[in-house]
Amino acid sequence: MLGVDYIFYVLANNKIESILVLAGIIGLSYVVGKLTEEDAVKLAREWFKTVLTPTKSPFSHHRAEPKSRVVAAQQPVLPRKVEFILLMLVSPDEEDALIGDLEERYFAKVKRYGKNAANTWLTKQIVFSICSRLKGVITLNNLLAAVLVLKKIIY
Amino acid sequence: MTTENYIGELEELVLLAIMKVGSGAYGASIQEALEDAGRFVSFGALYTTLGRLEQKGFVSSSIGEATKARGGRAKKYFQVEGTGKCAVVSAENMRRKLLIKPALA
Repeated sequence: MLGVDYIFYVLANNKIESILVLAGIIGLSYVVGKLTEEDAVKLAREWFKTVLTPTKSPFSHHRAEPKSRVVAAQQPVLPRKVEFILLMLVSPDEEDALIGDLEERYFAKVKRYGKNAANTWLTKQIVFSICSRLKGVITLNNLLAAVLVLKKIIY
Repeated sequence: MTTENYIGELEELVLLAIMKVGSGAYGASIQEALEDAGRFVSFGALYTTLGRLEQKGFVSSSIGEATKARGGRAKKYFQVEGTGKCAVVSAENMRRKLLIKPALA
């Protein structure tokens, strides 16, 4: 499907918003009958595979060679779900830097304070990161726009 | 102080942290410096702030080397530009002016 990759690329810059938009588009297309159920599921899977799977992300320009990933695999790794959540929060340019920083500090905490304390620190980081990201998304303008759109739909 | 070089509290702290860490300042070291100073900042908030500072031209960034401790991921180094230093000084001056006045009254 020509153009789908481009749409993925554009949407990937605003992941949280784009997931909602894409879910809406796929859902609406399915309801209207433009997409078959099979296509809708395929499209959704493709989206998750292309954009949200960290190791296969086409936007990680600065990632090191796979060799160093193999060496790094000897160390404990960040929980996969944490990586997944963080990938949704940051722009593609900052993915590697942010996750790398988090990984580095997490290992330092594990070594110094143990895994439990490190996990508590990590959870705090995730919760506060989500809050700060949402704070930027839910602005007065966005809420007003949403109210106006809903008003048009309802009346 | 014009609107262009206005900085928020967190932005000021991040600029100061980058200046304290020096030439090798990257996300983790900046966050550590802020934590040492008693301020908890999540990575999400930190990178949002750094992005904003970069947009304003107060800091510049460059991609560094990848290390094993980071799972083979590259570092992003930050450096405070001249305008960033000016913004910190202006903010400090303004604070000083406002602090002195009530003491004299």
